[in-house]
Amino acid sequence: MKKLKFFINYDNEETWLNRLAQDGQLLSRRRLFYTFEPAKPGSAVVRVDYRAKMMRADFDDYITLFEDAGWEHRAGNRHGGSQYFAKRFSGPASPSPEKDAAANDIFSDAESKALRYRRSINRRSVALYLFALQSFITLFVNGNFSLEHLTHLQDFYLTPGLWDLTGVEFVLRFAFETPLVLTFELFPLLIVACTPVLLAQVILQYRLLKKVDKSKQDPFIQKRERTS
Amino acid sequence: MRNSLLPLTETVFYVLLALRDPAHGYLIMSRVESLSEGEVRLAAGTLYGALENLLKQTLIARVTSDDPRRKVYQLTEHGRQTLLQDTQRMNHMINAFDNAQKE
Repeated sequence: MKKLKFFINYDNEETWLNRLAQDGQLLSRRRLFYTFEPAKPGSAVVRVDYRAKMMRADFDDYITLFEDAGWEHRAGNRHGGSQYFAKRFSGPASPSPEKDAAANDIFSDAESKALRYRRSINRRSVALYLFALQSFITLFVNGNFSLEHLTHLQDFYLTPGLWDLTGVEFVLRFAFETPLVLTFELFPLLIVACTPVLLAQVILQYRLLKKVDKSKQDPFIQKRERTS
Repeated sequence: MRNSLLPLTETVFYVLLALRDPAHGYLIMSRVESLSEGEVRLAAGTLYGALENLLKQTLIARVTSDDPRRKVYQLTEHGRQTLLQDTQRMNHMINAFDNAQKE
């Protein structure tokens, strides 16, 4: 089963993935789409971490630590982004995800849970600065830019008399110049268009982070029931 | 001068305490559980993040290990000092509490 969905809030993403796991669909891959494979309903809990790009050895160490603690790496890769882990329960007495927090979460205090947002905001922010810089250069330094240019795409081609050429010569020159036009003219435009989307994402995540910071009184600290 | 890393969080305190002898991630988790007599159980993501920070703050350092898939860490002198200072800080608070009770 494949599904396409976008999340900004990791808690909502986890809730959604766990609801599907309860119904017997366990995440097996995440590219653009989430891919699920059938599993025994309610036999696993799924958690999401966020990591920037890592060296191979660091990534192995990271995955091994989770595996040692009973978490199977289901999706994600060392080039950065969300990392998906699942813990499976065997036997009839599988605890519900909410009941036994100690065994069922990859975070045991509120601070580390909040840092997950901070890591992903940092990475998105860097991308945002680069996008903003690129937009600035495109719009102002290149100068005389207006949306009208989009209706005259042929003006982006600089070869003199290109549009009067015919036959093989036209095809060759056109093929030669098109990648240049895409790189220097249209790609920056695409980036300018993406900036508001990315900005919205960062703002939303930042607000979430504030919320998580405030809820520090709410202890995620995993403690065993005291046997008094 | 007062150590700016104080007070330590419960997670950090127990991780440092567990690293007086070298250990890899999972060994730290089980040591923390037994050192705290089952009171504190660290989750994998929390521990990984804590180790990253402690390395940056030079409270712990990596030591060589035979296992290429598991990094091994140990307390540094800076870490040892910080752990000691935090314990003294907490002792001080406990004394203050006891004295206040007596009045």
